[in-house]
Amino acid sequence: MTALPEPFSELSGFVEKWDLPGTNERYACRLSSSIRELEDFHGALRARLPEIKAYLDGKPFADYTEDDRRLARLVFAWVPVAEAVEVFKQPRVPDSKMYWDVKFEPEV
Amino acid sequence: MISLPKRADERWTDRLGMGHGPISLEDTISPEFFELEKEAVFRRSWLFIGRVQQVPRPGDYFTKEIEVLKASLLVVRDKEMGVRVYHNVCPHRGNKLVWDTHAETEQAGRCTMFVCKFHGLGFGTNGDVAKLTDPKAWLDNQGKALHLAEVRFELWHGFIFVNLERGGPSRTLREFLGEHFWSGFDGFAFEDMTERFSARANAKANWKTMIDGFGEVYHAATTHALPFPAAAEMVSAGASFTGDYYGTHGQHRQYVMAGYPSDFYQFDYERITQAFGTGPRHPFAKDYMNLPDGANPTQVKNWGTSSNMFFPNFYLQLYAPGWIVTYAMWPLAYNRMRFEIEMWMPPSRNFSEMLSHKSGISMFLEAALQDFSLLEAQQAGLETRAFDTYPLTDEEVCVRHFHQEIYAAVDKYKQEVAHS
Repeated sequence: MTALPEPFSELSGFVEKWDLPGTNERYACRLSSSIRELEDFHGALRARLPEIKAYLDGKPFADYTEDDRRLARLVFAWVPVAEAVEVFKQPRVPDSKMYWDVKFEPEV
Repeated sequence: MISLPKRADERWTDRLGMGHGPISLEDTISPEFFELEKEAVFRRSWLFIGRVQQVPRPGDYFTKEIEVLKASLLVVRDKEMGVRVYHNVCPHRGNKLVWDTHAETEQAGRCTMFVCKFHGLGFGTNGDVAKLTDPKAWLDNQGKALHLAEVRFELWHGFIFVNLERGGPSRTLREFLGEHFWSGFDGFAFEDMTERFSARANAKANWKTMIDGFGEVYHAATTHALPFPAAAEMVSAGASFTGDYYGTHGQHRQYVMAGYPSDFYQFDYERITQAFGTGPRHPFAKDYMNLPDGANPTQVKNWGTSSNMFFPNFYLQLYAPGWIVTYAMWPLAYNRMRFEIEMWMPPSRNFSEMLSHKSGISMFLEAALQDFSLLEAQQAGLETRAFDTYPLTDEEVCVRHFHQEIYAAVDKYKQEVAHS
């Protein structure tokens, strides 16, 4: 499934790659992407982020549809992508050979 | 306890009564020293193994491996809502009780009974045997008397500490922590911190290298120059990036540092997600900024972090606007360690808040990855023995204090062994 809430359907092309369950998978996907791919996703989602936040803040987590959760996961995957693009200018944190094994984290 | 601000012309190192000499790096590179450390440091200390918030409901459990003392522990919430800590070992034939596929991998879950994989004996959350296989075969009813071995533990604000001293603890947890910490944190709502982030990693480095890494703040301007350009720019301009308070309390120590204003951002993604390299910026439902005196002894204004370093291997760090991080550095060998980060905050109430939390944690982990990634290079450098000692600046007074306490504990142990 790649469907997103209708107002954000233009972002559905990013779903297949970036709809990931948690930080371990998101960071691994960042590492296996080129900086150009990261920049494309970064720019496209950033342009709609204020509206996405307003939309998802408009209902309690318990009322989220699967499409809403997919949209939320897309934003959560965007965070480490934004860090790579804006802070490190490359997919990997310089001089790091590994990443954490993230055991627990909240998800919607 | 020293709680007055330092004079401008004063050194923390002098104020805290420490010398200026270099530190021997033997405690970081010597296998023989590590063998002594097991008994002298880890056996004789109260060890942090988790929070009661990890087992909120009856039957919730987790296992904890303490390789340095060859211990495997089982922490469980019993039916009466009490927390229990047992050795994770079946009292019948000594098989490890809770494990899956790899005996050394920690587990967590919820159940009403722990069943041994060997003969199917079951134990309730109260530690009593609850199921015997072939009860009639037991001689003299010895089966019915089986009970999981209890581990001495105490709680401080929901933090679980165990003691594995032979013959029982020589100090209570209160005596071990000291009054500064024991009562000095009363009033901070640790119980509100229930949203959990957790990460692990192993490194080929001595466990103390990571403790030293977090023992001062001025590395941030170099190590974290990319995520913290503000710190790097400040230092380039000739200013110091320093702690605002350092203190030592028995075997433990702490520093406090002021933070940036809550509307200060360095990157676009930080502003839109309401996060900073040191965590979330979205306001919590409650105000946690008035820290108790134990956590901020000189009441540093606009505190950003209060880092509390408990002997031997536990950090409790409070960050503005009021969330907590625990670090535990567990030795696996003299030159190998497991590092555990747990980050806890008040639960997210909506999407923007969760995004703020996750964004803050994301960069927090990437910055911690920068710290962690240095360790193997540091261990390799130290092990060349190009130098026998290293010098420490006044900003590294906590590093100095930590190694002083390690050497003191090992010396004391050696004397005891010599006299016995």
